[in-house]
Amino acid sequence: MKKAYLFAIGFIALGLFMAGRAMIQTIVPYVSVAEARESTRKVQVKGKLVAGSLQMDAMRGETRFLIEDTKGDRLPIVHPKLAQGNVEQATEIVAIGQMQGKVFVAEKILYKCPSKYQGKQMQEYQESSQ
Amino acid sequence: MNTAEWGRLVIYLGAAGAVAATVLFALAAKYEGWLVWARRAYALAVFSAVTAFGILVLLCMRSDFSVVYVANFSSSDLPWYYKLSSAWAGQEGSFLLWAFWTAVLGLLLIRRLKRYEPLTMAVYSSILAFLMAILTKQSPFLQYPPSEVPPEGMGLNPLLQNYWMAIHPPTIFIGFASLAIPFSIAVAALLRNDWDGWVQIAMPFVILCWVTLGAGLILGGYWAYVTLGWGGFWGWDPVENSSLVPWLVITGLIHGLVVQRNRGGLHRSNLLLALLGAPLFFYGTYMTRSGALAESSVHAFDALAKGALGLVVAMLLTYTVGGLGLWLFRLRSIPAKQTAEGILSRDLAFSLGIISLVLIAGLTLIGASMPIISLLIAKQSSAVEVRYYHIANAPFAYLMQLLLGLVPFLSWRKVDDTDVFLQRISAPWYATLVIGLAVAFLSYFMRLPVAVGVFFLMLLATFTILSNAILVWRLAKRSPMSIGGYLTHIGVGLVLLGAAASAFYERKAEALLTNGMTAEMFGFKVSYAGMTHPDEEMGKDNAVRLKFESLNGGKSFEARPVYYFETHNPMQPRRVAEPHIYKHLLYDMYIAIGSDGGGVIERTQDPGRTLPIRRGETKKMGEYTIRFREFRIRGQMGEADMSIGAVLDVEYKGKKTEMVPEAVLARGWRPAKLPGGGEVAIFADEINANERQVILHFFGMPGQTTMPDHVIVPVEVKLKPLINLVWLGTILMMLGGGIAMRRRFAELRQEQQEPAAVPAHVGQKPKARTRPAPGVTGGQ
Repeated sequence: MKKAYLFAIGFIALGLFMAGRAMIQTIVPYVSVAEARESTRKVQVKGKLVAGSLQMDAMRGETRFLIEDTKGDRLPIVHPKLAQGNVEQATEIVAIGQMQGKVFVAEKILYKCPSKYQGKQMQEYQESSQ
Repeated sequence: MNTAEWGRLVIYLGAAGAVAATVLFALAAKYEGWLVWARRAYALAVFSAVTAFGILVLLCMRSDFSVVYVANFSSSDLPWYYKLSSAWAGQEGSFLLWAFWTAVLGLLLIRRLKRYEPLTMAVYSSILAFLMAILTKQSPFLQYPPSEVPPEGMGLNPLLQNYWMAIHPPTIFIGFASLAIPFSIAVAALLRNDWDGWVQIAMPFVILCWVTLGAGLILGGYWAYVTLGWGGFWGWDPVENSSLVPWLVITGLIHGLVVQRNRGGLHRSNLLLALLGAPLFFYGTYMTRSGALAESSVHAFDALAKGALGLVVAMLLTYTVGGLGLWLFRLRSIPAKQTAEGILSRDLAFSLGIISLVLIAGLTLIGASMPIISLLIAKQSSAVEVRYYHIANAPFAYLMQLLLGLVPFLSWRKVDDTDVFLQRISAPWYATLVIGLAVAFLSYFMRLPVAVGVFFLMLLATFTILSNAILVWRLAKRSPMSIGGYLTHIGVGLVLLGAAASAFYERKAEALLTNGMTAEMFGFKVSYAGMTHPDEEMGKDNAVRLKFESLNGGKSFEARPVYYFETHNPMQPRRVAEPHIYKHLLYDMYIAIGSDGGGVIERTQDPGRTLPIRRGETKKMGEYTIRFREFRIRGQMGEADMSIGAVLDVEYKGKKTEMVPEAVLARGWRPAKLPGGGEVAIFADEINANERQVILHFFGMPGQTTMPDHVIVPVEVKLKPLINLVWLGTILMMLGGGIAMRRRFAELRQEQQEPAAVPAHVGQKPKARTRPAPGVTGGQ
């Protein structure tokens, strides 16, 4: 009986340890623009769309824009496909991805637009992913 | 009073009835005389919930747009079955569906409860009371003032206009509603200090919950696979997780109850699991409908109204704290009997299996809650990547899979002799090894990619399928009612095998096609052959025709994937790519337009969609009157980000707006949004500076979205081997669950007819043999 219990507890402990490690590896932390620039892993960064910076490149199928965080720090972002919906009206953009050289390559962008739905004014996030 | 006002009235009536039933059933636990009145109050609640649901269905069928809900989720051009399903397409309707099933299931439950009736029904009615109260705060029966009634509804989201989506919610909500049953029975058991009596009553209902919730999950997954175009059936989305977690807990509970019936152990954990299911779903409801996950989920539930959300939170807290508190309070008086006796015993296997299921549920819950947890800890919401769920759950999934293969050959109660055990499992084990070697050899030969982890999982799944199949074969004639569990386990093995193979050995091919161009994909010559309705708007019913001609003498076919711009909510248009799935016995060919949202790139000179215009000119385009006022140049000449904008005065329905579509010299463009949906854009290479002329291109305009002739279609084809095993597996799981449920209901009926005469182990074979045949040893 002892053996059975030891076996079970040992296995479960090992499993939970691996799950904990997985959590640490796969969580995508929220960072500021300055931190994002220095980061080497996948992060998410939030900011305002810099007015007039949005470019939809239909030929390459890319979306490029600049965001500015609350400290006024700016970051160029490339999203490797044409973003859905009305990004240019976004009040806030969350980009999830990784730095590649000097640009932030966002595999996914979420953007909050002032939207009117069911007659109620509310903020909604939209998503565009790779 | 009009119909909607009747609806509002019956909701209040139902809430009152359910509250009264709660109080009266509680009283009846002490004073039996109140039972009659309690039942009457409950009957009133059921009548009200059913009537309210009936009224909503009626309003949807009648397309009564004076009702806000109907105007938001239905329209008069829908066929009757989608009008019907708009009754549960929205927030309010889905809560009403939940309340409806809760009320109706109570009728089934109340007949089987006997001495458990007062306490169980008191708890159960209180849950119904909460749901009805939420509906008073978030009513589906609100009406527009007569002057503001819209002439037409917004229609049902085209994504939901699908056969599977029509039956998925009614099914899964039976599951959600039935989670309240084990919870209520367990509370009654704790209050009565009765640690064994509740098991036989709860058993069939727990399986009912498992089957309906499971079927709902499967239907949802199948819907995602056939409509969303990304190629998978499970995405670890918060909404999916909030149904998966309680389902896993209920799966654990079924196995715990089996142990308790056969071995008389696990009293504490069974009560705990029964108490966890419903609160876990309340938590999921809070998570997915509060807007707390707005940043990480794409599911389109709006945030609930404040009052209704408050009630959801109150419900969550009441039943979590109440249930767990009661359990802790009684913990020391609940018997704790050792069951696991050795490594080679069914007892240990069941315990480990239950622990694995609960841990997978827990780890999934933590992952799904990460946005909330991190918000509380770090004030910033961070989500985990999808691969977290794979890595974290893997060890326990492997363990479970191994146990599923071993269990048919283990006995209850005693530790098996190792030699005998090895002899029993030898047939499926060697068969698995042979298949494994063959696959490994084939992979090497065909230069397929190899991953030890995936291979090992597939091996374990094969072992599970074989060893359970042997047992089903043996039992099928002797006691066909007892094969349910084993059949389900074959199904689990098939699902895992199919999922692993179709994901890991998936092959992908992409091509950009235009008129007259062909591409070779998976032995087919593929060409674009226009639209199914070339003169009509792009939409759900207008598919892209792709000719697939076999290059090696096989069958040729025409694929019809759909691609359209969905403007159901004009402020949030989205591109939808519905795949065409070419079914083969051994694989699916999953044909979709664009990788989600890559989109059909159109650039055309079609006069219906383009408008050459000079500076100072005023022209009409559809409902728009457009004057091209002037150019606006930004940036320095020669710089890549220099842009040239055309300042336009646009008049639409009597309103004038200025908009500036821009061409960016680095071959990009910034379109301007038109009022009424759609976009207008200009391109750098079409700006004629001498003539002061630009060409306006119109995209996604309502009524003007016919597909142009020379369109570029990005085609994505995925070859998914053995995906059919997943669907076969899910069918077997549901079949097995159905058989088990029938058996347990029959047992319960039998036991309640002759209370004393039947011992605890009903339907079990006599255990007279010295060496019992595998699997028949303990019933199931």
